[in-house]
Amino acid sequence: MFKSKVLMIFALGLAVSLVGLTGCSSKKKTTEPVKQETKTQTQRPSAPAVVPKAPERTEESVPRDLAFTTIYFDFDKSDLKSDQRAALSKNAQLLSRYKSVKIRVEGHCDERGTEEYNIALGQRRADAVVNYLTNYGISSSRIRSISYGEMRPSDSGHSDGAWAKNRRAEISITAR
Amino acid sequence: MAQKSIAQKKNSFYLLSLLIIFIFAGKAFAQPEVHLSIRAGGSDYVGVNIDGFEAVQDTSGVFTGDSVPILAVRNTLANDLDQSGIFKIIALHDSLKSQTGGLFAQLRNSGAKYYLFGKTSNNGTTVNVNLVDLKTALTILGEEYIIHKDRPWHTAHVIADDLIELFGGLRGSTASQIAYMTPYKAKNNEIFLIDADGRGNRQLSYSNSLSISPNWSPDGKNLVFSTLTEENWVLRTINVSTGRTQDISDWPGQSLSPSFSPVNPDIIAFSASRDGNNEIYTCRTDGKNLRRLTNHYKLDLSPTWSPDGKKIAFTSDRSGQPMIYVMNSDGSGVHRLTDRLNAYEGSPCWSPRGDRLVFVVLFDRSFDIATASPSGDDTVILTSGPGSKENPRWSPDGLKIVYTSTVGGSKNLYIMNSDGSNVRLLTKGINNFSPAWAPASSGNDTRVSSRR
Repeated sequence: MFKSKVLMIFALGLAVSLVGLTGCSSKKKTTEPVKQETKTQTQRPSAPAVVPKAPERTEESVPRDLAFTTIYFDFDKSDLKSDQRAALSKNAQLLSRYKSVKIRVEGHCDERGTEEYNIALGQRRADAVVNYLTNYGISSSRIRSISYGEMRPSDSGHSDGAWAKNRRAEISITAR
Repeated sequence: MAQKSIAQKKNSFYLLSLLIIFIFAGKAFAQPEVHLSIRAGGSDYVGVNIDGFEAVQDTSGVFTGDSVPILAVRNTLANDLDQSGIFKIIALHDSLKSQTGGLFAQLRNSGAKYYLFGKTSNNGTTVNVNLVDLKTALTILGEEYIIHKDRPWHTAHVIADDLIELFGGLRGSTASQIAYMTPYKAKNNEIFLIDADGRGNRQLSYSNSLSISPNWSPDGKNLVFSTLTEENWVLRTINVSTGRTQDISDWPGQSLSPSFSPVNPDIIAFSASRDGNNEIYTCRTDGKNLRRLTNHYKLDLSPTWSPDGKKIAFTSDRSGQPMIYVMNSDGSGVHRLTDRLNAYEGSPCWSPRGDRLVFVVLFDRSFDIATASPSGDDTVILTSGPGSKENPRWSPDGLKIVYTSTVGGSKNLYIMNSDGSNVRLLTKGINNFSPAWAPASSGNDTRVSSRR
């Protein structure tokens, strides 16, 4: 007699909860569409939503005015001077930050000495800058170099000041 | 600035040198007064008296033929000989004109050794030229030359070159031409040619690429030079007649300062960084048979051959600063040319006479030109004063040097005698540099006999 009573109470309880559940869910179902409708009333109709194209890599995009600082040298020398370290460091940091950028380092000389000696000297200056950058961690695949010797002066004068401006390594951007 | 730049060889040739110029005052043209001139420092120069070379007058005083070209021949010839580095034009001194003994005695007493007489023939279209030894009265040169009406100076140059060859041993350079570089468009250089007398300036290359350091082939038909492509400096030749170019190399790095062997026209020496740093190599003009001559981790460049092809001088900074070194043409026996202390040298060029090298030395902040013997003795500084002088190159007779100087404010080409005297401007304008003097012109187009 006792067992059957417990069973009856259990069955009743189950039936009530089932009703309750179905009742709740149907209530939810009816409210959600209402909410959605109120939301969508202010949106444009139909067409599938346009998603902005995400960048394929995670680097920053390269600013249009990105430029590198020219490095200057003493007469007949290709070693990097201490007063050029800040510029070199900045150049390296820029390359490190904008990983898609590729560059060409161009070595130059003042007009004294043979043209061919200055091609070689200009190359040594370019190499010095390249070595600094690769030691910093920039991949050598991103860097090319060339020497113009004395053939492309920045200043066509014949004074000490003009000569100093011509003893340089310039960095030009070959890919962004 | 009298220099003993051509030592014993010259003395043995020119001890006889005397020169008297005899000017016929009685002739119809006004001749310039030529004064007795004895070169300071000695009598190293061969005295030549120029006479004749006049237009022909008939009995009524009318000139037949064309008088102008023969005058131009005479004036240019006198100038060429006077600037040659061998000869000096001398006038018969007034006080000697009335001496007894005849013309030859008067000329000898004035200090002349040779008498040069020209007489037109064939209605003024050719000139017969004779050079007479005043001591023996023998004619040592007798030739007939065509007078080019449109360019009589060329006739004079051929006569002068024949005389220079007779006394100097190497054919004269007055009829030859000089190659050099000048920017054509704003950025790039092209090769130009100019006659040694400054005429006939003309463009040769139209490459639109940056080019430097041209050098001639021994037959004068091609120039070899270095030019910048997309990535590298490569070696290239250009045919002087057709302008056609041919690349020799496409090696990585820089290939620079090529120069032809004087004894094997298929071989060039040059400097290249293809193995890492600039070394001296030779190869065939097709780029094959590559042979490395130097082996030092520092810079070696600008090779120049001795005229017998057995040695090469070059610039190297293996001691710290760039200096001139000499080695055998197989790369053995490398040693410094001079023992100048704290030297900063470059741009060597071996004289075709074999007995001198010309090069540049850095003084303070600019360069001057010097010569030395191949054993490094007897260094002579030829230039001084304002301007930086670079790229010195010998004329094919070894008597003159062409070079670049900024003394005028911009780079231009100058020519001087091998002792530094007689400096004259060759090019006009600005930014003319890197000269190379062509082999001598044969003169076969002018000498009637043309047997050479």
